[in-house]
Amino acid sequence: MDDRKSSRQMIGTYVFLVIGPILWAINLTLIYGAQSSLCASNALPAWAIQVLVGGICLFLVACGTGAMLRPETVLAGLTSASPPKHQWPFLRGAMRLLTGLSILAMTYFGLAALFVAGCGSLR
Amino acid sequence: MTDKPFDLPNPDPRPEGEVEELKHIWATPRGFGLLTAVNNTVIGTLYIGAAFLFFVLAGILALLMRTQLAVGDNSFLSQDLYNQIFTTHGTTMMFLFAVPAVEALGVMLLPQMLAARDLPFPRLSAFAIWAYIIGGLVFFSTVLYDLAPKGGWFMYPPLTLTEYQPGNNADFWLLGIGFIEISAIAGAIEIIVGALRTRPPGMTLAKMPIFAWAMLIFAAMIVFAFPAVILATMLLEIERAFGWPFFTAALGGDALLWQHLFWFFGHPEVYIIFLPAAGLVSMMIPTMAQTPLVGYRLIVVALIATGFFSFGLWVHHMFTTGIPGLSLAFFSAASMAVAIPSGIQVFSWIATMAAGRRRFRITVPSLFILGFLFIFVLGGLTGVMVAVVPFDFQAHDSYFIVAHFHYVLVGGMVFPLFATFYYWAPLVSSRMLSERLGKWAFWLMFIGFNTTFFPMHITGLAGMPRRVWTYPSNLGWDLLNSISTAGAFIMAAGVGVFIIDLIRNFRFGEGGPENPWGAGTLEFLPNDVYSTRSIPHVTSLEPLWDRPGLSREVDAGHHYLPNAPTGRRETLVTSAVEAKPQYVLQMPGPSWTHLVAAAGTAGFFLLLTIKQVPLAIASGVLAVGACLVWTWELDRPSQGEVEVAKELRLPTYITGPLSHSWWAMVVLMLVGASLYVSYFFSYLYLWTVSPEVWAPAGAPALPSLVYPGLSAVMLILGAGCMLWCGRILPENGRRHWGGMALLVIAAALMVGAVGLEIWGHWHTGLQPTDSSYGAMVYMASVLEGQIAFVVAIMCLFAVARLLTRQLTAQRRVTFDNAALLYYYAVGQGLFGLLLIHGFPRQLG
Repeated sequence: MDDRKSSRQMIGTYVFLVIGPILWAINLTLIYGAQSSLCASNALPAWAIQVLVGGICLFLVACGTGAMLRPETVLAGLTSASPPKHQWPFLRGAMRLLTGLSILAMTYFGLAALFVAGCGSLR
Repeated sequence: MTDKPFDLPNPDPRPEGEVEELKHIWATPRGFGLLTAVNNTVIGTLYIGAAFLFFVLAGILALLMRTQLAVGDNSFLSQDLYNQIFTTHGTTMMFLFAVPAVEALGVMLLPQMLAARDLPFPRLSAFAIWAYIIGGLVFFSTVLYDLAPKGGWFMYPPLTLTEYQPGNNADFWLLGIGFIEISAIAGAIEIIVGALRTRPPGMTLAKMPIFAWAMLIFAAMIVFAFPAVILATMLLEIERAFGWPFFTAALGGDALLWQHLFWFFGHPEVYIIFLPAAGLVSMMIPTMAQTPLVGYRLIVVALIATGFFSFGLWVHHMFTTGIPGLSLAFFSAASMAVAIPSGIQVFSWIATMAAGRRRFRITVPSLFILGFLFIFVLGGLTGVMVAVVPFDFQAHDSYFIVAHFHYVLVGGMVFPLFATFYYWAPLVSSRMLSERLGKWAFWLMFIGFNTTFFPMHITGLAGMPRRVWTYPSNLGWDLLNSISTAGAFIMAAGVGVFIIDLIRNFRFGEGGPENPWGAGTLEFLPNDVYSTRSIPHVTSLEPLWDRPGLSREVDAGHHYLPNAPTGRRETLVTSAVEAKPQYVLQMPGPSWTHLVAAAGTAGFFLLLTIKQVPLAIASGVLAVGACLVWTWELDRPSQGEVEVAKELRLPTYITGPLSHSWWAMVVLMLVGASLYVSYFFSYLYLWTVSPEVWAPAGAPALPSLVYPGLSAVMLILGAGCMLWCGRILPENGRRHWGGMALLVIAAALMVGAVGLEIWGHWHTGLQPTDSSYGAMVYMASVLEGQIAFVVAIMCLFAVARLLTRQLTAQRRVTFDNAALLYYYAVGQGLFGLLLIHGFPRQLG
């Protein structure tokens, strides 16, 4: 077996497992980074920031949902290999559960964009 | 889940003498030689012992604090001494006890649970442990000489800036803790590679013990969380020592930057401590209930989710600092969301106990686990309370918070740790600990803990602020504080009973009862200094339950690697997902090098703290020298293919992406990247706070693009040299002058690129002390310079290997590691140039 291919399969499988939390981490980074910087620089009106935050959340939730529906495609994209036969139920199940939790967390964050002012502060 | 029956890897009787040879090869050195030992059971026990010592010492400090706070207007301790004790207590508990204790359990238990002979880098573990012990003892002793820091374990500036804390006290914290964090990262690299690559054949991801999952996630969290606080300590120490104003508002700095960096580490730290403890509980409960863990996959999911979500919580320590409301909402949501995976684990444990309720045994480990469940759930519930922003505004900085985090940390980590002591003691002690004394210890600790900390919820809600030396005695807080103090002494009595139990019953050595609890996992296979006689083929989560004859088979050498085919220490390396055997790893044995390296590194940091620069440099040189000798011995030549099982021969030398050292280097690069991302965040953060000091408007004009352009060219040329050198390494062991020249040129180009970047900025008149912008510009070069220094040493090391004919096209791990880090340094350098020269130009 080619070393690099084998190594890619190993790393790709771990990334596949945590694809949902990775989307969540991207969500947090984009939203926290973008919102704070945009508010500090007054680059956009507050309503636009709210729309941006909501849009990012929606997009990433859609990506997560897609990954849950087509796990084989995601794994193949990451590893260029078919799923490991004996471990596939475990890997697929764990990946779907993690992605589901991440979607819940992203939706939970995203809801704030509907109710809280874009750049308002509590003090 | 159990696989189909399989044929024994080594079905034939083994020749005589193999066990004696294994014993000889893995023998623990005696006398002073014990200091050179690297076996995981020896250094793991030492590691746990040291962590427990720090727990006791920090506990004594807690008793002093509680005595001071027992009544109002008390003057038992002076204010200054109280501040030192309070800071040392928190710092010791978090940095010298909690993280090292769980890392120690990883070092000791992980190889046993994976039936590996040892973790893949035993000297790295030993280095981390000695560095921690030396650094920790020196740090702790500062409280005896009036030199301890006084800024709290969180060390917030501006309180900790030189203006408000002159002297060396704060520097001891900054350099000492920064150094101990490096030791923690070294341990984390070891644990990650160990959990991924030294599992026994057949132990796929779905069959990994929960503790191995927990340690894998724990170590990954260290890789991403600790660099943030390492950067924070670097910035604060540089500001204290040289006046670079990262945290001084008047020059464009911001004290809140420290809080962001500190809590980006500090909150995951809570879970870094909790997850391994949860993993231990998940291992003990099935044994006590004699039934498989309910919801194995859910627990794995919960561990991973907790690990990730914990990185989205840091701002909940900063709810009252004036952060935009929308951000508060995100972090409040994340703080509540993390309760879901924690709840999954609690319900799984309860379900497992319920499933085995007829067989569930109330032993000392069970009692500590039940105590943990009670206390941790209470702490979790108050955690959800303080995740609600309006409530947090009320409870912030009050004793309610002190109660909350002690319920989480002591409940979530200390109680499981004591369960662990009783449960796994037979692995390293020839005698079990006492059930009778253990029950006394538990009840005293449980009652003492709740008597101490439950009243603090009320004290906090009654308005008592935390971090105070004393309080007026007419505010109604006296009685509650007196109760808390009484509870602290009851809890201390429980710990005292445990120490008596240790003295009476703990005897380090083999010969303990075999599998006394009837566990189903591999650490209870027959063990000796070499771990198990042969490395088992695993077919289920509880192999000892599902294959009753496994202990006998393993002990008779019927599984993998029943001998020492290379005549040295070795273990089996398997693939990271499917755990298929890949090669035999030749491991190093006892040595003084890691000990000298640890002492030298500790000396470097500690001497620097007291401004003994020449001695510090000498100590640093000693450390580097010891590391070079250490690594010189590592890259042993291939012994060809050896037989590890009937009809299975494996190579004894591997390089490239399949090798364990490649994986370790990748993890190290992730540490570097995390550090640099923290820097990138800090740069942008300070710009958002003080854009008026940023170039081009607020600082001297940027250097001409020729400077960064030339630096970039030098970096790229250096990478080209490394690439070329990799292609022309000699096939046979001859000296290759061309390769040597390329390595020297690559090292020079790397160092030159950093030097040119510094020169370019210096030339414009920009000083690092001018403003936060200047400080940030030069900080980029400091970070790149560090890595350039390491890369240059590695390149020169490779030159020495070429010169001595020990670097060839086949035996090339030394070169591959240097090249990998070089390419990373080039990537980081180019990104830094783009940021420092591109961002301000974009603004202007």
